[in-house]
Amino acid sequence: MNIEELRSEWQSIKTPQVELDRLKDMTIEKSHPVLSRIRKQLMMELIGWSAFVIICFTGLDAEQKPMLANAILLLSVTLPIIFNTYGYRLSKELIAGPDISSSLQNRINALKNFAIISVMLRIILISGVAYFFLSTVDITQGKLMLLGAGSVFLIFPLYLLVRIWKKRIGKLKDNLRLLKELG
Amino acid sequence: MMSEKEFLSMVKDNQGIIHKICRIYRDSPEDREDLFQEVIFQLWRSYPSFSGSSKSSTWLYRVALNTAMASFRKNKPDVTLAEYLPDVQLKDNINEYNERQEALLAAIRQLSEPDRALIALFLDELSYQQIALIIGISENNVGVKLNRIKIRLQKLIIKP
Repeated sequence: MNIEELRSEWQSIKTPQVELDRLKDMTIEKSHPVLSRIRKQLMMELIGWSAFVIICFTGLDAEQKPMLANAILLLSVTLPIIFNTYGYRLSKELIAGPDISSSLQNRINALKNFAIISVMLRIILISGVAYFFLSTVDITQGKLMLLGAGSVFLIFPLYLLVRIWKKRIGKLKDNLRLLKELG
Repeated sequence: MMSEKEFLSMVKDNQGIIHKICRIYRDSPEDREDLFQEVIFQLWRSYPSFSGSSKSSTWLYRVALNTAMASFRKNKPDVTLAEYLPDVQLKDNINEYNERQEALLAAIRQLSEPDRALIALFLDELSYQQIALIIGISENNVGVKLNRIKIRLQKLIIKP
């Protein structure tokens, strides 16, 4: 096929017709499938961590632990939850510039910052929870080894998180590089 | 500034552009449906900044292609119950596409994501200047890239 034939084929492709009421429905945030999934996930995390903190403060002798341990636990759990709301906003903002190249560049920057802070907050969360539980425990060599083994289970999700972000940002970077390179 | 009604009417009239972009950027009907909805959502969000100085189809192309390249698809297909009856679903009817069109779409899908954007704009007869404005590169670079992509596309269609 020559170029004119390709154009003609492309322009004659028949496409489905979506009616106005369905299109209107698609403009509503509540009916957005991806955002709905994120909202559900955020709500579950909020409920889960709130329950965790309540259990820690009411059932695990929180009053016997140093005030600092209680404060660190509360802060390390609260910060990621607050930051996740920024992540939700970021999920909505795919268009971040007047043309595709600048939009992709701005999105890469925003996602990079989000990913770095997100991973840091996850580390703070793990450390905060660990500090709360260990603040009144005498650390022996056996317990230290147990802690080391346990930390593998905590670090593995962190590794997965870093990998997901690297993959996502890498894909955007590749697209931007291909757009910008000459020829 | 247009009203919501005018916005929806403009999208309805130009929805063929979005459907074709979904066809070349996503493989499964479910992913295409998700992308279609995402594009409509992003169009509505960026609509207040649409000044009307450019053609609505140019603006629509920019937002749709940007969304296709910037959004992440699901890792695993979800099993979901259809909310709408089949007559208004976005599922493509494969019979609507003839063999030559299928070959063209399949060949475009083998290109890199940025190349798919350039060739789609070219096939819809946008000028180099319009393509350069949408993509954010120079007109000269658009020409160089399109020459390479056209040759590659023709080769892919001959030898899929």
